[in-house]
Amino acid sequence: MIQTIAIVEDDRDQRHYYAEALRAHGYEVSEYEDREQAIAAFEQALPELAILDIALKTDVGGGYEVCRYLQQRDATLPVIFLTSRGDELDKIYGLQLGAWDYQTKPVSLEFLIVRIESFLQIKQLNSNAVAVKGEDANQRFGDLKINSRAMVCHWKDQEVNLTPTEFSLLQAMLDAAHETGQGVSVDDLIKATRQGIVEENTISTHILHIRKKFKKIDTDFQCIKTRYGLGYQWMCS
Amino acid sequence: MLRRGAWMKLRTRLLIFSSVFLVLLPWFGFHFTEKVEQSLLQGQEEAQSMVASAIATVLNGYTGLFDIDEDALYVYPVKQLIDVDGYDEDWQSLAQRFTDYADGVFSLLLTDRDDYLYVYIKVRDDDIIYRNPRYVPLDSSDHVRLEYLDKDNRRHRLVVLAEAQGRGSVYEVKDDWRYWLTGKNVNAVYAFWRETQRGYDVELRLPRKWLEPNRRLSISVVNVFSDNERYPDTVLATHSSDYSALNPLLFQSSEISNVIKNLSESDSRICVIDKYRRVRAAIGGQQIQIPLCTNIDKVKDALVDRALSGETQVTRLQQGDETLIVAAHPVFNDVDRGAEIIGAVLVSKNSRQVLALQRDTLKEIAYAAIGIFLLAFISLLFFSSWLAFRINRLKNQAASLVDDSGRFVQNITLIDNLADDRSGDELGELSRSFSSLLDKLNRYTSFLETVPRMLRHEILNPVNTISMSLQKVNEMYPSSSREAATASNAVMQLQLIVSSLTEAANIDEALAQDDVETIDIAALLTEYVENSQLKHPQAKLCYSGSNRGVYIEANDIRIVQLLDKIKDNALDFSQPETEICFQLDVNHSGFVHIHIKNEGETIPQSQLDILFQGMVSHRAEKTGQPHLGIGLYVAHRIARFHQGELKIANREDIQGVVVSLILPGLADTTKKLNE
Repeated sequence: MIQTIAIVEDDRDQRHYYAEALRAHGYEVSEYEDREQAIAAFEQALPELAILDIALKTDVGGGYEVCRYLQQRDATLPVIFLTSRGDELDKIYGLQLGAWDYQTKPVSLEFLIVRIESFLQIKQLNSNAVAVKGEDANQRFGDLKINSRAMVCHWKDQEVNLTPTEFSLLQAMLDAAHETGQGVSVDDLIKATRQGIVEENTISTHILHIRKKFKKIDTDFQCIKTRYGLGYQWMCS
Repeated sequence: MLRRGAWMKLRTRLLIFSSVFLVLLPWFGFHFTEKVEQSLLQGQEEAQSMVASAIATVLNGYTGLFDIDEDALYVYPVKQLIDVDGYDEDWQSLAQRFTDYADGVFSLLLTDRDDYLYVYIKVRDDDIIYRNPRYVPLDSSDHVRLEYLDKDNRRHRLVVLAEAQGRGSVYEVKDDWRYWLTGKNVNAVYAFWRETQRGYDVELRLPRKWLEPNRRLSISVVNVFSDNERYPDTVLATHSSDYSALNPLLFQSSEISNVIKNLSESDSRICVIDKYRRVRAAIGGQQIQIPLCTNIDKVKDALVDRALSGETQVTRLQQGDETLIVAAHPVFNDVDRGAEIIGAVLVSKNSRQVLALQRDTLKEIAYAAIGIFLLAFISLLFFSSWLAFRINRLKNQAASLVDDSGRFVQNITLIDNLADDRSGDELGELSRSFSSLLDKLNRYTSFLETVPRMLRHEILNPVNTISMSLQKVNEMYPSSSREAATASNAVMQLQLIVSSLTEAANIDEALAQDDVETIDIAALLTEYVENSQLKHPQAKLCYSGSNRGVYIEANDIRIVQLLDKIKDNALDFSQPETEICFQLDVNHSGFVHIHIKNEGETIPQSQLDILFQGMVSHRAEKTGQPHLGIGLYVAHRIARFHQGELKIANREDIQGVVVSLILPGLADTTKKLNE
């Protein structure tokens, strides 16, 4: 089955690159340069996944509106924001709208394709009911239960709503804790995000968000330690 | 910013300047009153001169009033009662008025009171010969002779003699002065004879009416040769050569007094003198205490000299504290000019009144000046305080809009709420132009603040395109992968620059969303230095300070971010093989000091202050990383977010730099330290 991916991006060159790369990987790609065009097409048929730029020509928040529309139509539809707007607030807003990921440009095409593949896989897994969730992908670390394939995580049996990037960081910390009992350096965490350029500061922001999300469920959550000057460590007493 | 001394303050300056001018006010007042005094005195002089002139004009032609010989006997008016007892106590007030005759053989004083004329005669005689009743002739003893004209122009001759000290006998005698007319004692004349050390005194009185209207009287003192040869040896008289002439009696002239009475004032003294400088009338101004014409006397004064030579004269006499104004005017024997001068009129007046007037004026001016001074002072104080308040308010408002790094505190779209912006004066104008200036500046700042975001948006899209093109090129032409990698690296740097800029521009907003919690900064630093040493094996890091138990309220990730920036900076500037030392102190006021010291290049003094302002970098060499000095700016903002301070200075001990982070410690930091 050929999966359809919609790209809404006002810059023709970038749009073409994404489309070309995705087509090369066997996806069917539909390109739209503004909100009206995209929504008109989505009225007819929904894609399997959508890649959205936020600012579409003069339509400053056009991408958000498209995301909102898509989430209304299908809440399980993976949406990736691919934007030059890297502000925290934009990111939070985008994720709150139900987007699966928020990537800042420039983006590695290679990484983007890996990301899309795993999202489509997760989507399929989720839609194929709980039973299908491979038990082999389930891991347990004390109160934490994660499914690395579905990128789903539970703390004390409550789902922690992590973004894929946050999940990757958590995964990296868990792996290190499991294997060496040590922390993960920031540099390693940067690699784990599998993004083009990530600063230390971005990692700390992500960690802060992860901590906040856990604390929402459990105010006494203390498992992510800061290894000052080095990185972070998953350590539950 | 340099603060000038308090004396430079607007209010102080205004008060000093105005005080100088206000002090001039009483000074002008004083000078004004001096002028007023002068003109008042001048006015008084003129007025007195006119009074003198008027009196003189009235008296012009009254020749008869002044037509009295020079050898007249002066009759002084006296206030107290005279007791005829041979003692001169009653005459004390006139003691200086005795007139000597015959080279001082006898001296004489006449006074009148009520209906009598009193005469006191002091005679020098070392051999007093009293009357012996056995001798009939009345000139057989020492005696005093009186001769006067009655109203019928008949001469009467009286001798006063005594048989011993005590009441004397008075007889009217024939023109030979030897035998009495009637043999009866003249009882109307009462005389008293008393011996003195020098000789004898005779005090007597006689009815004044006898002397009217001719007022002619002569007095002689007769000394007999000796007790055995009783005949007159010397006869010494008041009249000079012409034995038959009688001295005119000079009373205070009631006629003249009557003439000038109506012209007199209580506070001025008017006296009229004759050409022999004798005061013929003096009225008014009893309180004036000066020797000039206080009584009938010869007036000897340059003023009188000039008046008697025909000049009109006004003089001021200083009398103790008081100034006396004396005007003199000649009196002529005829109304025609050029006629003979027969006397002069003197009008004296105390300037006390004028001075009192001046004093009152001065007092009023002083009070008014003090009042005005106070009023002006208070209103100036109020006004200057008000101005200072307005200026300060404007200053504070303007200052409150901008933080210490020069950024607008709030995102104000339009600054129109500065104080005084509706006021029409210069301050209002200042406020308005300030508002518009700040407004423009704010818009410009807002523009500048949006630049990184815009830049990011605008740059990242083409960067993305380049990046993807490079990936494509890499795929298509694996042979040129090295070039593609270099280009990718450049693109990455470009992205780093943009993201650093965005980070710096958004740091405050990002910090605002961060939570703070109680962290152990000592434990954090210990671990941080340890881990950093692992991360940078080539560097030599050291740490001095507690290993745990120093607590602060902070966001640990931000603190680490801050430390990273400073550590990276220190690494870049350190000489190889030198130590980078972290030091933790807690001072007495509970502040936590973290010093990061390195050895190496120092920072020029001129750059030290601006190093945290962003976009300032003093790196001399390229290290492959983009260096815009943004790191220190972000560190500075993080320190500020924690109510702390970041300082940078050159080391004093050795060549190098010390960066100090000062953070407020928790109140119980020391307590926990001691536990």
